[in-house]
Amino acid sequence: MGRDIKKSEVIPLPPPVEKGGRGDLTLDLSVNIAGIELKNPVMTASGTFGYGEEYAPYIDLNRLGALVVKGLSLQPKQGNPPPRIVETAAGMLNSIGLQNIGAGVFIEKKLPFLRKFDTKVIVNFFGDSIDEYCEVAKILDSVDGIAGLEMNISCPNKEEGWLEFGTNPDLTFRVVNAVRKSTRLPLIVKLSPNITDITIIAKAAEDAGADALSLINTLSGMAVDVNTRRPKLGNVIGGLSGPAIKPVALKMVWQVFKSVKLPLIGIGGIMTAEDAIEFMIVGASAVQVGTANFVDPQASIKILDGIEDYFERNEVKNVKDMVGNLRV
Amino acid sequence: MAKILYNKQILPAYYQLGIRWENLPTIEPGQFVMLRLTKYIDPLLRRPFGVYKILGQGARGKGQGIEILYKVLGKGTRLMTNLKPDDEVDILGPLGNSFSAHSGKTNVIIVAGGIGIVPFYLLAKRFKKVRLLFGGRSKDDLPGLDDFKKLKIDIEVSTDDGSRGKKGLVTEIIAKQLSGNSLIYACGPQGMLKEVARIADKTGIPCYVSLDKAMACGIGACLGCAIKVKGQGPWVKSQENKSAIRNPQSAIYKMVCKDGPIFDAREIVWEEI
Repeated sequence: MGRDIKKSEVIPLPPPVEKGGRGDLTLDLSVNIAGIELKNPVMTASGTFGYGEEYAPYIDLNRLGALVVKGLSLQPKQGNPPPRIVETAAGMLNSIGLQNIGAGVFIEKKLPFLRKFDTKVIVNFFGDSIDEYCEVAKILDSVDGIAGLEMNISCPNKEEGWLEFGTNPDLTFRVVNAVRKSTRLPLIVKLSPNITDITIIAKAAEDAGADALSLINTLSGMAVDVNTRRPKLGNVIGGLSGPAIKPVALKMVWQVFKSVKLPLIGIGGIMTAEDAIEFMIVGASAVQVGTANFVDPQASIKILDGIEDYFERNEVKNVKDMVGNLRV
Repeated sequence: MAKILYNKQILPAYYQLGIRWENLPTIEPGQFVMLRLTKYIDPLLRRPFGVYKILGQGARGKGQGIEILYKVLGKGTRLMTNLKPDDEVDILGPLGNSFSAHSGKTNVIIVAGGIGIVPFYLLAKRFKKVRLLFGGRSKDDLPGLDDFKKLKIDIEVSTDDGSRGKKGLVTEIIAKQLSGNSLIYACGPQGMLKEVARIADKTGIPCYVSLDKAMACGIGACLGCAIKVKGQGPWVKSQENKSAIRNPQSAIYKMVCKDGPIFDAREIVWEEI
């Protein structure tokens, strides 16, 4: 105010400053998890993305950081009687019962298709005994085109009165340790939220040799039809997923981030890029998009685009800078 | 995104929803779409709806949109009643399989119960001669009846309360329609389908049913819409009633969204539907 501005010459505006656009080399979204080099931190969650081919008509699979296929067991599994799904408030319950084609058929019939894509394939697997876990891991270990394994430990153990592996630290240690010795592939352990203190299980998995942890699996739940007084799921109880579980998942990722050194993959109700970034802020190096794939087959790609925008807008240079930078 | 053209109430609980669809793909009778009703998370999942009509279909068969015929049943369909022209919905499809025909089976019979009429408007147009047996609880549960009358096909109506047509169940009027060259297509409540399947099986008449199950994705990924079907072994004669059966030990789950929604009625394990 009051200064003489006439001294300065009026010139045209300069051209727009070049900022890193999508595909620009200055924006690096790559992240290394458990030794798996991902081009970006967006993965699709097991059980919500089939064997990948179901979504190929709808999205460019090459854009994904990784895709995690439907959980495999040693033998094909039929799954549970219907009804298998029911929508609940901002979420859905499922009792699919781990229906799958078995590890052998997957390798023979589904993997050749996935090898054509420039995206990492992570194979989710499970068993009902330590031996079965190890056997599946060994079968998957010897094939080309699998970047890593994700162990579902939210399964009942037939040798210990059908107690779920992932609800007991000793069982978790034993099964993860045995699988660790059965495969050279990077090993991600997927944690169950249906426990009192998730950090105890997380530490057991870390001590047993896991390379990374993914969390959370579905929360145990049920729904009832008041007219018939029957459960809405054929299996009576099922697993809750979707936006309803995101706050629980965020808290558990934050707790585990503070108690183990392993890289974490955040899962639980991620529908938008903002949701994904919340998980990074509390400690996730990558995320898995699950139920959102059902709502919109392109959800994972939209989330990836949104993360790129956020990184540009906030001048975040790489994923590492976001992980666990919660201001508390 | 697709724009709503109209949303008109045709009966107390039934609406016809016109949706404009740019570059409309080919849609076969019996196929469905998954509609996302809001951008928000409640309701969260898409809902499957059968395609009732192709709109503005010209001489070359190229349509400009589709019509959904829906019944107000829950939160999602209640929300749908608020849709106005120019509102947008997210549409995924067409999905699922279509009906099969049989050579020489010229006595084509469609059995529909209430909202189960949906897949049959497009199907009825494929046959020179077809008979519709249409049942509902009352005269207010016969959606689309006027559309079928315009097709100038044989129609027999029954209602549980006798408020239109014959009083009783639609399955009670099937038997006298059947002949050696009959072919049945059915869609409606499970009890009705079970009974139609039983009649078809007993008389050895080919029968195709359109099924509806809760599903999350519609594209074969969630494995939510499972139904039990008999195994894939060879057909054998049943000891009890001489009908064709497959080894019940080899039953497997199929997905209504991808393997269906149309199934050969003989294939289904009706006790566990």
